[in-house]
Amino acid sequence: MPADSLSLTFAALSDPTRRSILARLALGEISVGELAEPFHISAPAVTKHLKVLERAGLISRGRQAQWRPCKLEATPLQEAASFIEQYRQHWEQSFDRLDDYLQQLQAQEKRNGR
Amino acid sequence: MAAKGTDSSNSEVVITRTFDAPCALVWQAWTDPKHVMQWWGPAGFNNESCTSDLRVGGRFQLEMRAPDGNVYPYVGTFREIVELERIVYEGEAAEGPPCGAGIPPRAVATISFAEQQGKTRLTLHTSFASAERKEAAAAARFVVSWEEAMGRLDDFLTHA
Repeated sequence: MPADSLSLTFAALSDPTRRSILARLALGEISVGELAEPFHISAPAVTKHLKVLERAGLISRGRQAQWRPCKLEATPLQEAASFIEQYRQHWEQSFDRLDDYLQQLQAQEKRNGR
Repeated sequence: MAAKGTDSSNSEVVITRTFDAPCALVWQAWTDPKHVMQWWGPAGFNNESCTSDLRVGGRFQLEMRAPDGNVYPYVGTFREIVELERIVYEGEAAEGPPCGAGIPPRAVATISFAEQQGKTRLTLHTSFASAERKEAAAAARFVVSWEEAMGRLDDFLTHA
């Protein structure tokens, strides 16, 4: 995944309302009006958030039905998750290696009569 | 034995580990390129080169080769150095893999050293790219709960 689309995902996820919208969409497709209800914000404000989410590829919107249902797209979220996971793995495994290496260094020091 | 710990519940990603070695040795293993090359990177990765100009404003460079042959470079600058206590790296903004061989481009990574009864507790604290720092942290937090939800769903499906 290119770095800039990852930033796009992170930027889209930076807003708590957008995260709540995603959480709601995880339950299933829904219309803009229904989405707006629990957030106490206007439908145009929700539409704005949806545009950001759509640009980041986090959601898609139906073209056929007049109410244009919103649907969660899991891939970018999984990519963001795998980025964090990869980062963690890098360091957990580096630390494992550092641990072994430090033991080697200390064994060497002992052999050299320190 | 090394004690492990990770935490991404707060604003940034933090990884800690306690090593059974004195602080001076852990410091040496972190700061001498000859040592760094021996352990930096996940299992199966090798380092092609490493240079380190250990002073504030000095550069740190490393080239990591993955088992599949791909080479991942990392170039950073030392922002702070307190001997036997702390090193702060800042990743250079450059095209490259988002993980940047351990420290993502534009991320700030602080390595803290603390000796406790002959052992050394190491803390790696990462702030993602300053402009995107909060977003990345929010995503990390979000992603963690997301993963938990997915995990639970997975369990539910396997046991259903």
